Amino acid sequence: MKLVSHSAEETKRLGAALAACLQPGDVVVLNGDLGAGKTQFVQGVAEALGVTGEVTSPTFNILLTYDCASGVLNHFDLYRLESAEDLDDIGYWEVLEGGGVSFIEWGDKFPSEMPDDYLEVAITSGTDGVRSIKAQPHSTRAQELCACWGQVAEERA
Amino acid sequence: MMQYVLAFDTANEVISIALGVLHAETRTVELVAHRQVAAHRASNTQLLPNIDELLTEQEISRDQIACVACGRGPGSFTGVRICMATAKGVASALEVPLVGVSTLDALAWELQAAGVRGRVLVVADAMRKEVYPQVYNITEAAIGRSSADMVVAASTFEGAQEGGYALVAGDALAKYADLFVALGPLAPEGQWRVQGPGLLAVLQDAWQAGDCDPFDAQRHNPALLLPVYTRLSDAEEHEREKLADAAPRDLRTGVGGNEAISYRPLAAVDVDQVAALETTCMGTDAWNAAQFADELPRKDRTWWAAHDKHGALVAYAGGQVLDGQLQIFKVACAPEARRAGIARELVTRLAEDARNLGAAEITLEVRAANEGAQAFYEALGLDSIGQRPGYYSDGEDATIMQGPLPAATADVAGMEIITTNERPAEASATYGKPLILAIETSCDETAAALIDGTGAILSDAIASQIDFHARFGGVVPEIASRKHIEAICGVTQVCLEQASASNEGGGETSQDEMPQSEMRQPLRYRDLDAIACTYAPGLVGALVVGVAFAKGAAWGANIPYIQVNHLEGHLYANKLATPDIQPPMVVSLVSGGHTMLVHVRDWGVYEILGSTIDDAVGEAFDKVAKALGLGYPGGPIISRYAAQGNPHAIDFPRAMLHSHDFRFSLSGLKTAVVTYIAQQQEAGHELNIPDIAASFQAAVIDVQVAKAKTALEETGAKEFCLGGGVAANPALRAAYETLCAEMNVRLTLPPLSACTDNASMIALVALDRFAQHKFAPLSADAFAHSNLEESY
Repeated sequence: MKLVSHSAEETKRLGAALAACLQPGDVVVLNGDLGAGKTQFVQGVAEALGVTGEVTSPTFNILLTYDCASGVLNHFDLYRLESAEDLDDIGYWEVLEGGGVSFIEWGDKFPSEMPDDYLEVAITSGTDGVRSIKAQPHSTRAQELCACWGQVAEERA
Repeated sequence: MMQYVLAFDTANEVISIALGVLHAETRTVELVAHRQVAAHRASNTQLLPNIDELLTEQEISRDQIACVACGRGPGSFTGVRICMATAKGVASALEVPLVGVSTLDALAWELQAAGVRGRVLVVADAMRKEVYPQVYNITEAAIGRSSADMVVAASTFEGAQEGGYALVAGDALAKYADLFVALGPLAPEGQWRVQGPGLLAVLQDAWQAGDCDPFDAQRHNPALLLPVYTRLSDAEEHEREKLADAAPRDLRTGVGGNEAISYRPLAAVDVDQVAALETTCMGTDAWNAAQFADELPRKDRTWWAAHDKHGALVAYAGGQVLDGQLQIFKVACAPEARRAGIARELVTRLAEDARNLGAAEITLEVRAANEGAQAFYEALGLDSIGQRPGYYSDGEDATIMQGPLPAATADVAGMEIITTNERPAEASATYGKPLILAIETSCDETAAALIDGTGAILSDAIASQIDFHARFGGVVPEIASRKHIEAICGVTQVCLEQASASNEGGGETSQDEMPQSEMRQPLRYRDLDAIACTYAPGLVGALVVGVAFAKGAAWGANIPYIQVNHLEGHLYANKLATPDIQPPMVVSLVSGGHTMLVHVRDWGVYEILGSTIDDAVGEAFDKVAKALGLGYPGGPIISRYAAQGNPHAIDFPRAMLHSHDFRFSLSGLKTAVVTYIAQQQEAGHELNIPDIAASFQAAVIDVQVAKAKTALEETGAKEFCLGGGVAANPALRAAYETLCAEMNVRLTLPPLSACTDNASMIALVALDRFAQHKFAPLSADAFAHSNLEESY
């Protein structure tokens, strides 16, 4: 599935549309270049899930966790990690399997460390500032999630 | 008096605690009481309160605990880390041995006690569809473990099994019961996780087999115990292959547990072994046993020896302190024990003694042809200052080497501990009460500091993980929170030792607590009045290690635990540079993780004027550096290039400059720089890195300074301070100097060591909180976020 965003606000709105479909345990892997808008996308999700307070880049902290109406939102940024062992250090699998909703930025650094069932969202920026957002479901739950997202995004467009 | 062992385990989402009596004559452990509490992801808040309750119930005091035992896993990473950090804290403060026990073996012993016999499979959940399997052959007398711990995919393991087990147990059954049901009858859920008594059974079994001694504090030093790592990191594997040790690393611990070296002053009983090793190492210049025996009683001598775990002497070193110089006579290490840092550790011990005997310099002779030894001493900061022709009996020349006493360093889990003794020598040697130990593990660094009631920092130690990684041939993971668990005991211990060394001459507390002697005893946990630790914000997996250790030690020493907000620490860090600094003041906090302007109305009363809505400044520097191909960390490199570039060359956006508030946004600037680079490359233009760096840096600084100016105007504060690693940027400092001069505001620019994460700043906050009796309960936890404006 492909979506297009023309602004940071639109990227956030697409995140909010995805938020409407999320269930506990869902994992979304966000790939894209520096500055493509990955954190903005998660800000849109967080706002829609009722997270109060600023949602900032987790690059330094690697993992930021927010309480929200439906449980917990985990926001990973694997940018600073160098090897898969580091994931054990940060309790990566315990958090992913801990029942919340998880977003993982820079997941493509560790392709073999992605869970079996996840939705891959790739944001690429064109030279004109337009972002193309491509969603690729891996396994069944991600397919449902992807279909729901497309539907909600279309309804709200 | 009865001597008890306190055992606990939190590896599998439950807290199991057991108390037992140690019977030395029969080497048996008698169960007194135990409890199991469900603790899904909450063991840090419930472990110590439950331990405290259990002891109270049994009317057993902490002083009666002669040994601590803790579950090393395998199991949940967070669970094991909390268990182990707590145990290290408790054992360190109580000054008792810490013995590690296998969580899986403990469960097997509990099955044994329940009457289970035969081949039993225990499978623990390792997440991501993997399990920690272990096959036992349980009999009347033993559990018969079959192999070392390992981690395997649940389905792969099941597929390779023939089945026919008498029982299958373990918490992996909660997820994979279907997978294992074909292999044998499944245990009832009550037998999936450790109850407590099994921990004591493992201890007793190891005691009787001679694999542990619950009364041997040296053998079971709390610093040596590590979790079960079922796999070594790539870097460690690489290191292991490189060294190709005759005695390979113990895979069960991930460290050289079997090679644990103990250091102690050379004793008369050692002299024969020393003489034998001397013959091997020194040839015709070897001393004999009588010569060593003659050395030992002399008051101006210091001799140390290193023994392996079997008690064999593997290295020794010694020298004389004369006229303020430590003259080293001998440093020798058995060939098979070389390249393990033992010689360095011995020289460190000599240096510590020599420092206590008033020496400031070190000098020695080394064979002119022995380049390896000369390189070793050069690394310690010694220079060659001349030759002694024909000094050795075979006619070889000696090179004379001399230098300052090596900075107090200690090797902890392969990490260099750098200590700075910030207490000026003339500050009299008195400890003002209270004495508080502060710990900081919020992200990449393990740090500890000790402060006294006058606000003097008695010692400050940091285990620089960058040095650790440098050892591993350039593999530089930027984060390694597991290193905290390896470093925490060493860093705190060095901190306590340094504090007492810096107080030569005695003081009010030393009169009754520390007997006067030629060499001061290190400070002990029981000398402290409180223990403090950063509890938020940061990476929770890293924070919990410090918090669990600090709470454990505070409980063990029966003193209060104080929690400190990391950001408040950065505000207090300005006191290190400007002791008379007084609120109200405006602080700009800029680092890899934070970008904010804080109005400090008073100590403890903060208003966040504004912060970043997306990226932190330090992060933007790092990412721009990466986009330019300049490497990590980005701050110093960008500022170096920027100094040669034109800040007006490219007009990058000044985000939020006119937003009329104090919020920052760095994401747009980062994107603009990345886009600019891409456009230039697409057009085939060569990048002008100095101009890009200077223009980017100018865009950052313009916004920072403009908002700081408005903040000073609006608050009327007459003090402006910086905190965080970005405060090292020279252009930013210069811009603030100009601004503050114009506005007649006093500017505090703390030294970089105070800007970056350190424990001294945590100690400063802790001192104020101690005075206000702001103590935290044993149930206190670590948090990724915290609101600086809310009092805590």
